[in-house]
Amino acid sequence: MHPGPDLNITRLLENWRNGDEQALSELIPLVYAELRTVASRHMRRENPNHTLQTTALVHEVYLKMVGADVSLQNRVHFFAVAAKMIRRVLVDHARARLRGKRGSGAIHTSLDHAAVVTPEPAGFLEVNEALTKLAEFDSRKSEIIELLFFGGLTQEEAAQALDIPLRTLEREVKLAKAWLYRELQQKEGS
Amino acid sequence: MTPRQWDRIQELFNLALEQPESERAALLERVCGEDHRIRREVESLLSANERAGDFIEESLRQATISQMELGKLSEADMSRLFVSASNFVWSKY
Repeated sequence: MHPGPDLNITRLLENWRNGDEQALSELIPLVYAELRTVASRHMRRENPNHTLQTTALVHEVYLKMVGADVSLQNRVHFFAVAAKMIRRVLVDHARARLRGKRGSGAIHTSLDHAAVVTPEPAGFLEVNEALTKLAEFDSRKSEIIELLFFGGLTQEEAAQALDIPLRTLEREVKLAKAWLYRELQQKEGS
Repeated sequence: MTPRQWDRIQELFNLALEQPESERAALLERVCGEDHRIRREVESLLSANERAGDFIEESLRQATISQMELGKLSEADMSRLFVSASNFVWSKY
């Protein structure tokens, strides 16, 4: 539907950034629709595994929707919202799979993919829960982890987009990961 | 844990990482003094840091678009997304 970078998206990102929540509520379905469109196009393509890393997907959608916009603030806001979507989708999917495993309902998925492609739902959901817990007392770190691992920004890109020194970002990531890891270990041990 | 304690923990964690491993214990002994709780917390995070490796990458490695195609977000998901995204504030730094 979008014939290239979309000025409307740029406007919505800017308005959201300036505190207009209506802009955010318009933005979410647009970005989500585009993620789905690009994802299904990839699925139809000749592709040995029919797979694409979600992070590559986010980048492709970014280029399509926002590519011409050079504002770093818009860039980071786009990746923040897309990363949250990816996280949500993966969580929903992992939960559905877990329910399926327990026998309370069949999951519609093709077997050849299910075996190879989905993350181990329990492990993934635990990481997700720990991240939610981290956000309760240090939302900044949780946002950074989302940008990197669900949005697919490199540390350099994230530091640039957030306008902080790379070294600062690296320290944030290091502590966030140590905290998350310990949280998972403690849970395992309890 | 208060925000103040968390700030202190972060500060000491970063400080310790700047030192060679062999000098970290002495450093923490010196700066933590009687505050054993903070010291234990920092030590435990330093140890987790050594072991963490790529555990997040591992848990996400298999995350691909075949799930994206399956996953349709519900209204409730969309609302949660909205709340979470509206908390994303650029001026945090």
